[in-house]
Amino acid sequence: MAPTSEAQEFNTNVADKDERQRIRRARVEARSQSSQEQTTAKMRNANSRAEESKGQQQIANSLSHLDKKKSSGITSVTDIRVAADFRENQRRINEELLRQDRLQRLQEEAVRSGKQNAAVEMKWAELLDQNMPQELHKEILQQKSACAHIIASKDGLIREFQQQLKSKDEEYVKALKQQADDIEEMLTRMRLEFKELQEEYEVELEAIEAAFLSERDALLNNNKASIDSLFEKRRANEQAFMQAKQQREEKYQQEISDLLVKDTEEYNKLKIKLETDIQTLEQQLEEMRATYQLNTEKLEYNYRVLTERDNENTSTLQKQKKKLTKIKDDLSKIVSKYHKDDARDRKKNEDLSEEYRRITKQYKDLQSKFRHFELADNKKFEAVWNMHEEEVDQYVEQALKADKIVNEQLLGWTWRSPDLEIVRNPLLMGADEDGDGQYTLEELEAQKQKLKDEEEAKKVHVPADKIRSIVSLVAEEAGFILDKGVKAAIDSLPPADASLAQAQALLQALGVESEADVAALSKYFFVEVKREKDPMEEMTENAEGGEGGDEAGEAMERLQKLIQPNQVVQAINKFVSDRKGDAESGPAAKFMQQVEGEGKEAAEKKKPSEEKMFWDRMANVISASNWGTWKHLEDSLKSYNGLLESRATGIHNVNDLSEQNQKLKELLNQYLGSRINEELIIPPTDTIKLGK
Amino acid sequence: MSVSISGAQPTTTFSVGSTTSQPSLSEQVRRYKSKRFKEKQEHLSKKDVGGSGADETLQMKCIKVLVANFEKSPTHDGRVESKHLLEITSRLPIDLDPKQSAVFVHDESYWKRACLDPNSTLTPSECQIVEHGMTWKQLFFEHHLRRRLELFDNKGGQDDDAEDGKEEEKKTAEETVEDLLEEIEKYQDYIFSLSFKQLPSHLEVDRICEKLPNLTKLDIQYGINKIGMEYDRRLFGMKISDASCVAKAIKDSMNLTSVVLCGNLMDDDLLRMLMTGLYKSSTITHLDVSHNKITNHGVRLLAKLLGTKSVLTSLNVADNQIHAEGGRYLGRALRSNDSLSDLNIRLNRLTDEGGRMLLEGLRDNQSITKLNIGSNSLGGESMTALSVVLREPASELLILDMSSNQLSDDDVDVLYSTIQRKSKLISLDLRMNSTSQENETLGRIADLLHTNELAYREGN
Repeated sequence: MAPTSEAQEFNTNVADKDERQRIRRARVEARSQSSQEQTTAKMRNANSRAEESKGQQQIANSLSHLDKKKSSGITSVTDIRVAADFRENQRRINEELLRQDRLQRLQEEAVRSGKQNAAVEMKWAELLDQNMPQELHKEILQQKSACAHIIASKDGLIREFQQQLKSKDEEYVKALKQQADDIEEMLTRMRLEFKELQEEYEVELEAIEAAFLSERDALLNNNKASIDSLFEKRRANEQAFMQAKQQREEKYQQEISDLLVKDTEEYNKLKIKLETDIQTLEQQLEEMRATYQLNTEKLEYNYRVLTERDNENTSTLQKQKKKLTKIKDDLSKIVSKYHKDDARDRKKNEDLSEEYRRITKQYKDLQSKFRHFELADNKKFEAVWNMHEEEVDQYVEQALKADKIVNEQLLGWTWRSPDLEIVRNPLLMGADEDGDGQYTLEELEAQKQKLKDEEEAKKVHVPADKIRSIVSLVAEEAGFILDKGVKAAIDSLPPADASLAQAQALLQALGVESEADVAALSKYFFVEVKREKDPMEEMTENAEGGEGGDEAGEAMERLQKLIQPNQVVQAINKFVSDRKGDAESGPAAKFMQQVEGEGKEAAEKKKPSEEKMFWDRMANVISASNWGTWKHLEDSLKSYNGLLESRATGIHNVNDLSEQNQKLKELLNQYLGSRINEELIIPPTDTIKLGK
Repeated sequence: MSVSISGAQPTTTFSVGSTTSQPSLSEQVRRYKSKRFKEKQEHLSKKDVGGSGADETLQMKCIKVLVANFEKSPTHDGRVESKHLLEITSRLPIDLDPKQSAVFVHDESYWKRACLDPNSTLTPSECQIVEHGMTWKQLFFEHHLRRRLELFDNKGGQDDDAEDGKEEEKKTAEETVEDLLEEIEKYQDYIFSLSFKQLPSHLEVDRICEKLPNLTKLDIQYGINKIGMEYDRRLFGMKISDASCVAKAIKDSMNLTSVVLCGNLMDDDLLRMLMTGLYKSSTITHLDVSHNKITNHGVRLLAKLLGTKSVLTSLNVADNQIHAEGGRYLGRALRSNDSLSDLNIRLNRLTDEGGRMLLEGLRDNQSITKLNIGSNSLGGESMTALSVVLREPASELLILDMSSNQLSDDDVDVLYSTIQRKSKLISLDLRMNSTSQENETLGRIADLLHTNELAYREGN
């Protein structure tokens, strides 16, 4: 970072401490100056950012500088160790080389001395062969010198090694000294480094502080200036505001005075007006007070009345309550009674139904009996009929005889006797019978046709859907008409069959057995108007219904006119009661119908009419004209008789009157002859005499 | 001695505090409040001093008596209220029998007083509670034990040196060993680290370690302090029996994590003896056998500790006699190791070949962060192997020391290009290599490393 020239310039490796400090200060100042220059340069470019980071920048600078310082210090301290290591390493390498050298030399020496030893040994062997003492001596001397030579070479080596050892010793001492020096040096360096580092830290701290202080000053100045300007601005604003306020105040004062004058006038006016108002209002108040007084009196009276009423109400309420409780008790009693009765009636109902079954059986028996008796009756009827016929014949003959007598004897007319056979059988009636009560074949045919129509009308088909709807309605609303047992039986059946069985059971229960009954029933359910008609007219109604055949088609529409469910029971009631009435009114016909069936019905119908006609004919044996003559005759005879009677009475009256006159004459004579008449002042006889 | 119920609470608090870091905290708290308390205490003490006899409160009298007779019948927190206990301990003399005080005195201020007393054997530089679990009591007893062991040897040594002669003396020596062990038992709870610089008696270390269940650090040097002119080579270094004792101690201990055996003249045979213990241990993470005489064979044994199941994180074999073969063994072991993060092989004879083999082994290693291979005669081959290692993206190497080697300018250039390309290295020492004086590459490397370091600091 720092250029070398600067590094040299600010070299801290100077002995004097003060000098070092001075140099360091100078360096820091120079750096801060340069940084300031940089910052000012930056400020020109980008105003405030550099200024803000001045302290931070100083810190970063100081830290990097200290880092460097520390690392250099560590290096300088460890340098000694590294150098010692290096030396040691070198020494060891040298040592190894020397050791190898020594070993080599030892080996060389050993080889050499070995050779010489061998030579000496060999000489020794040769010496044993020597006989000459001088030669031996000489040889021995030679041997000795050779041995000495070997020993000398070995000694030389030893000396050399000892020399080396000595030098080693010296080296050791030197190394010790070196180490002591090294340690000393290291300690001094460490101390130095420590001190320097401390100073560095102090200086840097001061520098950082100075940087921060300057930054702070700048900030303070800035802030002060800005605050001053703001104060100035405020003062100006205040002045302007004050002036404006004064103006406003004056204006407002003026307005207030104007308003005051105006308001006083208004006030006076208002006061007068209000005073008059007060007077009128007081008058009104008086009036109102009077009315209120009246009202209060009225209301008080009302209140009294109401309180009394209230008392009455409370008393009635209590009464009602008591009544209510009583009624409740009654209700509970009744309910319990009802339950009892219900159970009893149920049982009774069962008994009755049982009885009913028995009675129906009896009824069936009765019917069979009836049939039997009917046959018997018919026979009897025949017999009676014949008997009566004879009687009638006699009467007719008698009548005819009487007619003959009347015609021939009284009137003196010729009399023609009517054919009795024809009279007896209308079919044999010929053209000769032209009077009233005569029947022609055409008439008979017409009669037959009518009967047929009636039959057909009875067979009027009631649509199935109608029946179904009726039955379902009845089942829903009046299921009670079925017996329990029947109900259970229906329930056990599958639904499809159940509905059918139920319908059958219902119809049976209602007493509907034929289609006609069904139709009748349907009338009760569909058309209210018809329902009100006399059941006796049902037949004719049916006939009419038959004529209107398309009415059946409209049944679907009428289905919607079905009576309301709540009226079902009423309808049934009505139907049953009407049926009862029907049955009572014409039990014979009903029974005939039921017993004889449809086939015999026409004949049965025919019989009474025929009989009737027969009797009519018999009755009309004397024709109307004859009858009229009879009547006239009777009338004339009667008048004649009357005349005669009146003459008889007149005669009788004359007789009575003459008798009375006689009696009265006797009585008068009696009175006149009595003594009392003489004693009277004016005797009545005198007056009578006068009258006489 | 019965413990009253009322005193149960303070008992627990004090006894717990004495073994954990709480005392330092409590001490801090006390220090914080001391400004207020001082006045009161001064007041009290003034009163005590001023009013002789009559003015003294009964409490003060009792306390004085208790203090005077503390050694004979020690008071402990169960019997006296804690506020009085503080008063008592502040008055106790610091030369109490450690056997007694270890059991009955828990007040940290007392132990601080004992440690900082100018008459104590502790030098001010040794009074660093940071190195002793932040408690003065631990500091005191660890130092006490050290002194006992280092001085004990004198007696025993003299007995031994006095040569077989008198059996009585031997007996006393024997008794002293028993006494020593008994004494250790008293303050065994406060010993976490055992260290001594000399042990002439060559006591059986395992017997001592047996008594120390909390022992985590073992720092042993068999040397002689201040020998002067009585120098005898035999007095220095570890013996076979010592090695077997240490091995046994390591094997038996459950908590031992750090073993330091610097400067014991240990050769391969002694190391083999030690390994019998080291193999069995699964707790030791820091092993320092620097400044010994270990050769390639010893390194081969040590390499076995660096297996796949190894927990060793720091290994220091600086200043030994390891040659190229040793480098190969280490390299092979490191290939499969994932625990070791710090390796120091400074001042050995690896040579260029050995360095190459070691660094080739480091290529796949992802755990080593700190490596010192200074003073090993490394050259070009090692440098090429190193550049391969540094190029590995998985490599975690941060601090590298290659000072005092035989690296040439070309090697430095290679290293520069490697670092420039990609490396996390934040510190590199290349001093005292055979480079030319004005090599600009070194400066550039320093710049690169500086930026790396800044990035690393920000990362952390």
